Amino acid sequence: MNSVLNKIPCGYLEFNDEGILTQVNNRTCNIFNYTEKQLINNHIETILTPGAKIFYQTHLFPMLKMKKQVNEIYLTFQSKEGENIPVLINAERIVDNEEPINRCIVLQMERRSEYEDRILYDKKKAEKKSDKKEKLLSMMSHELRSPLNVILGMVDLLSNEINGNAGSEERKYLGLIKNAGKDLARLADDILNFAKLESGYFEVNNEVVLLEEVLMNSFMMAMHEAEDKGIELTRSEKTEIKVFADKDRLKQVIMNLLTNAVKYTEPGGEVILTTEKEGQYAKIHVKDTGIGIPAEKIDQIFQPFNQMDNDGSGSSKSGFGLGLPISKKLVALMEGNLTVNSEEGEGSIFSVKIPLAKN
Amino acid sequence: MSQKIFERNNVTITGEGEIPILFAHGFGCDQHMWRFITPAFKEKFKVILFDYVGFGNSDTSSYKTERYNTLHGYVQDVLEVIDALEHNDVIFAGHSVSSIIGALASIKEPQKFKHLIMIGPSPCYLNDPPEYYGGYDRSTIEELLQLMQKNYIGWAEFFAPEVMKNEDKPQLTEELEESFCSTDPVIAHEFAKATFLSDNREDLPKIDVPVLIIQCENDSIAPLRVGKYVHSQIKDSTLEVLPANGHCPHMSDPELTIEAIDNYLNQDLTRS
Repeated sequence: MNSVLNKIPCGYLEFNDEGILTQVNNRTCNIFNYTEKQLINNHIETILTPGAKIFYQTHLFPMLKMKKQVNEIYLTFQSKEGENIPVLINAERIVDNEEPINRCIVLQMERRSEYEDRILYDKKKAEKKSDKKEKLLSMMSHELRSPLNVILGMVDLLSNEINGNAGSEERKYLGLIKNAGKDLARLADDILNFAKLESGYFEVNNEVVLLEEVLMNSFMMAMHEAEDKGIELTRSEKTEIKVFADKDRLKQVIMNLLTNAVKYTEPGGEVILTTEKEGQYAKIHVKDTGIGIPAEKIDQIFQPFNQMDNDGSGSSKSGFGLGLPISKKLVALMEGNLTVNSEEGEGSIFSVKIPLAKN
Repeated sequence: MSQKIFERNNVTITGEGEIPILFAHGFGCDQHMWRFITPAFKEKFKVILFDYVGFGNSDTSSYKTERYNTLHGYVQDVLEVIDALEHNDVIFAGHSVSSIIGALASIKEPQKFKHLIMIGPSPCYLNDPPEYYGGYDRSTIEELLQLMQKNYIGWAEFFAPEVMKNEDKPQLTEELEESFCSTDPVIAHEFAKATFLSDNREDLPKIDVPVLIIQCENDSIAPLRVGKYVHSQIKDSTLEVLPANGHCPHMSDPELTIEAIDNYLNQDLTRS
């Protein structure tokens, strides 16, 4: 063995295509506590752990044979006493006098390996926790939904039952129960949708959709709320645009944007729904003259549960702040994009960009 | 439909012959692992290569965990490739886990297979004492999975384009080389689990196709005793033990491997 190779501060070894060690330097012998004689002419698997033997046969050797070079491969070697020694290797394959030889530098990496193990362990732990959280959210939402459906159903029955026989106070109370129940049902739906979107189990069924149908439906549904609050809700002319989207989900998004616009606009204000074509996309804008979003909060509005972080200034607005994060994810699933332009006190414009249907 | 399957599994067809021979790669690699032996068969056979979904240049977007988390998804790939080729009586050569995938496919649709060539087969890698010693216990497989996970950074590097060194085999294109072993780590992890944790011992006696078993004398992944076990369980099988080390004789000792396959198939061709 070349004296320089015996002096370098890392292990060095050579093996042929059969895996037989043909050269090892002093450092290699020291790391694994073998003598040179005990290693030369033996198989490289002598110093590999069982898992590393499989990796050598299924990856390392084929890669060397095909690519002639491998870098930063993590392996576990085994000392004569059976102690596992994590190493990092760089190797290259050369053909010398028609004899292929695989040359390999070996670096011990015990401490780094421990850190990596810890990171992997923490990652798995975090993934498990996240799974549990999503399951819990989904379960909670179902548990909330069932009794709520009963309450809402019973309120309807009761309303029909007392039709014409009740005083205005009783009607008012029933109306309050119904509205509160609906709000709660919407929150439960938000949680369920969010949990599904986060866990990746949410599917959209994109198809050719007449945008007018979606806009008209959403517009009509938001109209009552706007009227009740004294807000002028208007829209641009009827559109012929066809988009490639999930009709129900797109309606859910537009409804959410219109409801938010009404919610954050003071009586006497205005909410306008417009559409335009831009390249291969349709753009739907919901513009309001509401309170707007402060610059420092604009990045947070698409983050879930952002309303929980409010310092009380927005406490009059109910909800978990899930509507916009859900809308953003839904639009992304439809291969579009949801963005916002806003200035505090000047109102906001939310824009949905969605692919046009191909002819 | 055929074109879709060809694209999905990156099927390549070469050779002058009529008799179809289908080579199926093993765990960790793709169809390029066969390049040291396929030239020897191109004169007499129609040589068909493919990549399993998730490997090599296959269409990774077709990968679905529920299909490929057991070997049966890969069995389906093989049957669909043969269907798309519109061939019956295919000679199927599988390396390592592909030997078992081919065996399971032949049990399902025996009319599609003329011969199975198993290189380094193991029906069960786990020990099941006292009757059976596959060579590994569960902790070894866990260690392998962890090694794969920790090599993720290294693996990612294989996606990057780089100039290949092909001095001794200049005929290879750079594009082909680059894909070798460039497997998505998640897919590789699932394939490793499907490969090393399955037990197909009970399927071996159901094989109704003549089988050649090519076994290296010293193979730590599929040891000689496992090769002998496979031989003992398949009615019409021939065991050829190569004086070679390792689990990939078609890469480390291509001449020996070619000779073993040639001898076996020549006998059959002479007979017929």
